[in-house]
Amino acid sequence: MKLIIRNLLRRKLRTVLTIGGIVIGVFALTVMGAMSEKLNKLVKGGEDYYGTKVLVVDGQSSAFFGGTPLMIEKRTEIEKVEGVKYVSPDIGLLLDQETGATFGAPAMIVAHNPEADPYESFKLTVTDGRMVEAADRGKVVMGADLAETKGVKVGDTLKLRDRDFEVIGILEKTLTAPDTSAVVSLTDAQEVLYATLPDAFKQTLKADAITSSFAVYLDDIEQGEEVAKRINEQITGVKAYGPSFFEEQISQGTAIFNAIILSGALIAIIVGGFSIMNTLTFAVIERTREIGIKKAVGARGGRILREFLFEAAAIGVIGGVVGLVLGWLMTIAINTAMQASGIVLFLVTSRLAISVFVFAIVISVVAGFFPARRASKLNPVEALRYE
Amino acid sequence: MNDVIARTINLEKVYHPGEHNEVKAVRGISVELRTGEFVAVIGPSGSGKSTFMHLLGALDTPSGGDIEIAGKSLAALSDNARADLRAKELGFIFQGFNLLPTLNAIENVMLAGDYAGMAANVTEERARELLREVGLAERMDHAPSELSGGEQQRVAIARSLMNDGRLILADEPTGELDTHNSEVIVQLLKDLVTRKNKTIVMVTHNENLTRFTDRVIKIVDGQLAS
Repeated sequence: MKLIIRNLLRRKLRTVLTIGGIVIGVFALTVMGAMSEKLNKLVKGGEDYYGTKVLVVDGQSSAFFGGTPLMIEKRTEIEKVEGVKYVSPDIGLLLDQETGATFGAPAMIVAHNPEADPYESFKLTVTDGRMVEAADRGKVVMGADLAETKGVKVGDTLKLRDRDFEVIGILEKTLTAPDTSAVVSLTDAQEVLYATLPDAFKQTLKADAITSSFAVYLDDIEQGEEVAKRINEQITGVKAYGPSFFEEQISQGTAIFNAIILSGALIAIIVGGFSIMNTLTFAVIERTREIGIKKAVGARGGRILREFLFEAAAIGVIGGVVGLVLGWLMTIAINTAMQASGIVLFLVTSRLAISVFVFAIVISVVAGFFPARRASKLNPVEALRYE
Repeated sequence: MNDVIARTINLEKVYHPGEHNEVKAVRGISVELRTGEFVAVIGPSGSGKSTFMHLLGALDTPSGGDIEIAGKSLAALSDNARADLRAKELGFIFQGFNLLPTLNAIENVMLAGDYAGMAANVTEERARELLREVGLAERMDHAPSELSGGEQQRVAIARSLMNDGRLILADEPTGELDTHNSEVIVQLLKDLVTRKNKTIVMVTHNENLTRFTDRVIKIVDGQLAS
């Protein structure tokens, strides 16, 4: 070990530059990976939520992005469809009317229907205060990130879509959509939804007659696609999406996005690997005579190979640690800077940190392998003659 | 008569520096080396002395003939087995001292113990003892660059003794030393032969030094000349 450190210190500038190459790669991989991890959590949450139920929207609307409201009376019709266990009105509205495109989940006002709780597998936990109940009016439970963005705690009052709401609870961090949700009672959500409707609708409808969509809980999750098909066939004016829809539409898109951002970072670290290969190739040439001495004294080829591989691994370890720390600090800095806008862009998970670190070492050792093998194969007599 | 520790049988080494070029560096050398013998190998430059030593030290493979060390034929040995033989049975001393510049004196000596598979605590103890024996008790923690030529060669001698092998090969060990230091070093080698019953084969240009040795082998044009 001492020998490895001393060998690395022999050419300090070169070692620093080589480690720098790995640092840049690991840094990029950490930052990009953290972005991808955040997105994955978000998508995973969506899969957990939508993957167990059928989503029913108005025939004119699209699955996740709302549109025309649904008549709540459709609920009884849907409940009669074979395989349906329970139908819950589901309301989700953008918190800010003007919200444009955003990275991740936008802030939403969502309705909470306590009656659906027994059927829901995606549980929300309140860390502070309590959950909204059906009879609550003007009360809101804030998602963890949203509460932080808005700077509110239990007992505070805030305006959501021009209405005053009292914060009665804060949700536990889920790392997915509920973190940026404001949860209100179904009745309050219906009123907020009603207020967004054109006047023509308002004259013919009442607030308690509408919902954005229905979450349809199933007798058997495996039957989701069949139940969606049945709803589409038997009930007019609605569109039903089975559990696989979310995965097909959203997960595949994010997979491509992940592949693009991660491949950029991968290229960076592979370039770092080449710099290790270059450095060690020169080191082998420089130390040819020393390798000859070691072999004469009795070192096996494998021993020489190991010494160079350890040197490569040491570069990987140092570069990995420095790159990880810098990348992690970067994600914290950006997340903090963007806190006010409610966007959390990065998530450094232990899974990410460990895999980036291991990858840095693996790529260093792989890159070091070729020069190390060359060293181990040197003919001792020729190596001893080398000047 | 003492036992034979090493033997070469019709040893040959041919190099091919170019496609149609052939250099016969060693041609049919057969010698026996006995335990407790101090042997000088002399001959003009380019006569094949060093090649002979490399073959005897299992650093190079012969083109023909065979070498036996402690009754074991080298011809059939793999690279690793030859490395193990060097680590456990042989000691090397070179003209240019050949110490590792990043290690200090004691670490250079300990390296040989490490390669011979000795336990770390035993290695250090033994390295200290050997450095004391060669008169470097006060210089153990010095880097090679801080030592004189004579001192560096003493470190190399201590290193060659580390594995307690029976055969020590010294290739021009005094080549870079002045007359006084040369004689001191050769006397030290002579002591090892008498005190420790080592077999030492020393290549030298300096025929003056052969007075310390028991026997002289002369090589001319890759062949024994007597």
